[in-house]
Amino acid sequence: MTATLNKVLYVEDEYDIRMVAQLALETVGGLTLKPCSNGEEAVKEGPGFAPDLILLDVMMPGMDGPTTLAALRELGTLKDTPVIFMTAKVQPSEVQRYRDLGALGVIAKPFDPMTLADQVREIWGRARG
Amino acid sequence: MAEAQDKILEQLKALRERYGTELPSKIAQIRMRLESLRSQWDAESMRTLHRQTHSLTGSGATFGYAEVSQAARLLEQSLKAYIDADIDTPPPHWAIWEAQLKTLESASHETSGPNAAEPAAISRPAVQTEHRLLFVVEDDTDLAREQRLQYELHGYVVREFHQIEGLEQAVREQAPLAIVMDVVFPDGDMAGIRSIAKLRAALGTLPPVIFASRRDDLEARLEAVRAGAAAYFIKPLDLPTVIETLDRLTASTDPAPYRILIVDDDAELAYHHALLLQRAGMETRVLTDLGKVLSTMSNFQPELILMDLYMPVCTGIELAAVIRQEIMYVGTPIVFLSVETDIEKHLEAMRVGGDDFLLKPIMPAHLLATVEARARRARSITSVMIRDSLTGLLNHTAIEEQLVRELSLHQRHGGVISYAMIDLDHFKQVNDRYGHAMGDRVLRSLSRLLRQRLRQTDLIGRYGGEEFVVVLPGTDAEIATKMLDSLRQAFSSLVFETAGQRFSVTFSAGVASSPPFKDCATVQNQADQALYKAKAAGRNQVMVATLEED
Repeated sequence: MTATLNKVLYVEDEYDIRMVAQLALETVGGLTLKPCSNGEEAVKEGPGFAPDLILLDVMMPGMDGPTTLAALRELGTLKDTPVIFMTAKVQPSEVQRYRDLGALGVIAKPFDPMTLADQVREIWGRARG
Repeated sequence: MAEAQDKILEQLKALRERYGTELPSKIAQIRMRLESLRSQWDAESMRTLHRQTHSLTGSGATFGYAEVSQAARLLEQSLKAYIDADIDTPPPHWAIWEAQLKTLESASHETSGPNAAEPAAISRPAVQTEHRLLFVVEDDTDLAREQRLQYELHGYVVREFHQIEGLEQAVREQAPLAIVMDVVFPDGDMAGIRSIAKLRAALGTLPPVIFASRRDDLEARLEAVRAGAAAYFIKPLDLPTVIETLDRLTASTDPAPYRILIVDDDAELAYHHALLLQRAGMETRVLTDLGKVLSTMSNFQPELILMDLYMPVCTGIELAAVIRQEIMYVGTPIVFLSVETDIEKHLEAMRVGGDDFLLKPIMPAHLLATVEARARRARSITSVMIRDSLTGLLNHTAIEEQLVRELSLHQRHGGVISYAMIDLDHFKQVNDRYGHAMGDRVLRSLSRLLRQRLRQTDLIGRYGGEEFVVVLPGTDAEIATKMLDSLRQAFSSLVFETAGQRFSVTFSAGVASSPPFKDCATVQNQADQALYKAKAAGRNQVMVATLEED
């Protein structure tokens, strides 16, 4: 795994949120983003993009966040890629569930576009030890 | 560059405006779906309704509509409470939902609209970006630096001030979590205390202030009390104790919500109680199908059960006895609710392990107070049972249970987990030379360091004596070793002081990961052997267990 964070595979079904997250992570945050609007697209585009980090919305119609994660983990190259979930549900029992699924952390929605990249980097940085 | 910043703000404004134009139709869709559910009930449509509302909760404030997020969250929680209750008959709760939807509709009509330059009221991140900022105001530059180094080792971010001038401005710009303040300055023998009093008067409120002083006289201590001091320490400072006090003063006080299970065949009443408790910040689950009681207990892990006494399949007393058959739930408080006035029945309820008996109809405030008090007590008892009393870390049994659990989770989902055993070097000498009180302080310092530096997902336990254990999910041996080595260095640079003597303590550690090792016993044995090797090789180092032929 690379030491610096650069490429982020981002899965979010809502167009508006994808746009603002792109602004937040690419323009403000300087990261390279691959936005996907659903789990199927993520499975298709993910391996080729070879992300350093996967950012997953939890509540999506069709394949939800955890289901998408399971599908991505089946793909050899993405088996160990770190994952952060984004959700408006942040009850501790649910946060624990996401951690049990192997997430590095959880970012709450609604998020502040000006600090989203910082939050992502902070979780990434702490996991690096 | 101001230009780049402007461009970003412009783009943000455009996105927000776009969101604003689509918002009314999103809410209209929610309104239509709710209306159609009233005339034709459909569980799937209900879930879609929840998801649509949830989406507004998660987006509103990002686009400048903070009130939309808040109003949507309330409606969403009501809908969720109903969905979680697993009732498949249509709900009678339309009035509540109608009212909440109205609030949501008016929130979206906010003519003041989004202000692109101002960040909206954003909910706090679940994983905190903690800048644990401290101000140290000390004119002795060596002492100031020494404090800064020690505090930073414990996860604080420190700004040093060598004079009182400029402190007020700094606090106005970015208030720290706490201030450590010297008392004697060139300006005067009480200058530190006087300036804090003035600062408090000027700002109205101050973060907690700890005074550090050579002055041990009553006059100085009284002035400190009058200036609102949170603590007063005499120099030379016992830094571990100061740090303990800082931790205590700066700890966040939000406990995780209590989990309450409500068992009642009367769905509507159960739902009302659930909403009441949820509004007070608790997490609830409603159980109406008694056949699911044990699986619900296992999944939800409630901290308290609110149970009706009379239900068709069995009485609450019988159900309580069933629950208590499981050793795990022997301690879970059960509060009965009933119209039963017969005192014999009350006593019988207590005998099977009920903890309290409340009469219906119950005043909301009374229910809330009882549930909250009992849940709090249950939680603190559990905490005592699973935690080591000296350090607050998990005890031997608890951390071992967690290791087994984490290992099986990781083996099921793939991924790696590391386990480390940490043992203080020459600890017996510390106790012999400096006394057991000092030894305890060293143990507490290490546990604090571990808690500060490790991640929220890591588990820390004390095995007793001078042995500690950490479980690092999602971490391979290489990274685990780096983390432990960094901790080792940090701990070895801590300076303990007692009766004019100063000393430091080191530790040795052994690391084992799964993979390659598979079961709990092997992981523990391997880590133990690695620890032994570290000691044999001279101590104050970290060794890793590798798969090799013996």
